[in-house]
Amino acid sequence: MIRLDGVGQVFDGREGRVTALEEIDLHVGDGEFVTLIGRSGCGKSTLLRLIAGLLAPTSGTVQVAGEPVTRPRRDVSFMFQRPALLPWRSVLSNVMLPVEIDRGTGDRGKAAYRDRAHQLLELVGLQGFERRLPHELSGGMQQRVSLCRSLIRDPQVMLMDEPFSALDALTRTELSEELQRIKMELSTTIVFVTHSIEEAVVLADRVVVLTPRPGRMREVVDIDIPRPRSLGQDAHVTEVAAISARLHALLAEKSAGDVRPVDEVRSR
Amino acid sequence: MRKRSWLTDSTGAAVLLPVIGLAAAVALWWGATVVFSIEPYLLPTPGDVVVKFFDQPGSLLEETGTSLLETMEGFLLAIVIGIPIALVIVRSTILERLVYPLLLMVNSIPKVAIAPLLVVWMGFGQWPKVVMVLLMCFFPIVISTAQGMKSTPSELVELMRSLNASRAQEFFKLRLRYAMPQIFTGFKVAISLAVIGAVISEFVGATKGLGYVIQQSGASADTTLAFAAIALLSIMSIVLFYGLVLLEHLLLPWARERT
Repeated sequence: MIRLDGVGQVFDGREGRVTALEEIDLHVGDGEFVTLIGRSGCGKSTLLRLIAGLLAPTSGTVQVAGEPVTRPRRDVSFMFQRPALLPWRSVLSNVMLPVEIDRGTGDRGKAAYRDRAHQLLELVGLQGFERRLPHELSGGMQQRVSLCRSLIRDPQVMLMDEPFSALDALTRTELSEELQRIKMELSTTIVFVTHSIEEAVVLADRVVVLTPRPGRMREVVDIDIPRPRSLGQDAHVTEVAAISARLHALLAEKSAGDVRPVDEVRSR
Repeated sequence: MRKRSWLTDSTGAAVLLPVIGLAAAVALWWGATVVFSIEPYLLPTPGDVVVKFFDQPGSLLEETGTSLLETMEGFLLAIVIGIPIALVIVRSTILERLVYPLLLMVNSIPKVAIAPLLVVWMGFGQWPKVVMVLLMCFFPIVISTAQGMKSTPSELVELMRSLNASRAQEFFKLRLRYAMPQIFTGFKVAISLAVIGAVISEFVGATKGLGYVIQQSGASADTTLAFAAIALLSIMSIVLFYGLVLLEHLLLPWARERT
């Protein structure tokens, strides 16, 4: 589904050229759940933006569904660290935003999408909140709306940039369980960036460990724990802990020379 | 934790308190004229002013209507011209650098100085007045709109890009909407300036309008008439301002709750 071959990214910053990514070769299969993990500044957000078509690579090629990525695709959705809801729009109308932006959708198509939006909101437990404004919701609820928005057009690929990192621990566990449930139902391909080792292990089929400056692939770890996985009740605490410990060691290895946080460059 | 009270939290108090403030000011004025027995040609009592108005309500309201029309026309024209210019400033750094000093220059000219020029250029009709109002309220509208659009959070801009939104969609569905609370702040500054602009232009080469009435009453030492005209101007400003506040309240319910 996703193919990155020899991808590198160099930014011209004020303090000279910064190599954010180097020699990234990554293949993500159909319906696979891959998490990218690394210290801040390892270029994981940049990598996600390259796949999204928000950024063009300095070298190498990025392909989604066999086609080179030149601009954001309609079958790829992006979810941000913050909910990024438009404050003047109701919950429902925020979820419908992607449909509205894409002018190819007719009235009948829109009606079908509206039904879909109601379904999705119900799926994440937000039925009855359709008419509310974002500021009336808690952070966790807002991020659920954001999740519905990124699911509205049944994307083939979902790119998620630390979507749960701003939430409290409990909400975070809940949402990661919901995401797994949705994932199993929809068989979407997901690339998920996080700096939480446990989150990476709980969610992923494969964890990609990136090293910082320049961002390189340190190792790819397969996770064979049966789904649905949890850190709450019926926890897979021991399995997750074992793999987490290994990932922790991998991440800690390259901590020398880690001085200034330059990266997490977010614009094109 | 501050204690909540009826005076700060209720809608009734929100309406009542300004009225009390105004009534107190009028009472003080009245008291001063009585206590110090001030001559009416220096400072008329509020009662004199009200009587003066009811001597000729028709003509004074007509003059008010003239000033109001000029104010509104100039204000709306400033919106129609100002918002696209703000958009240009936001879109292009080059144009911003090119246009900004010009805007500043025009804004820094004392408007009284151009009033006679406008008459020379455009005659004695309505146009010099409308243009004066435009010049007065153009700047705050442009600045607040540009600032508002620039303050759009980057994650929202990136969201629109990830959805393949066109430039026009990014502008109308995001930036302009996001800037609305700040644009309204600009409107509120501009509307008071607009009324001042109308009066200034009516001082020069006009045959009607409240500014003209004030000037004429000065010539004939009719202080009470001048006060009546000034009172009408103040009422006009206040009504226009609170009209905008009400409009903002109705149009932007989402902005009320933001802190």
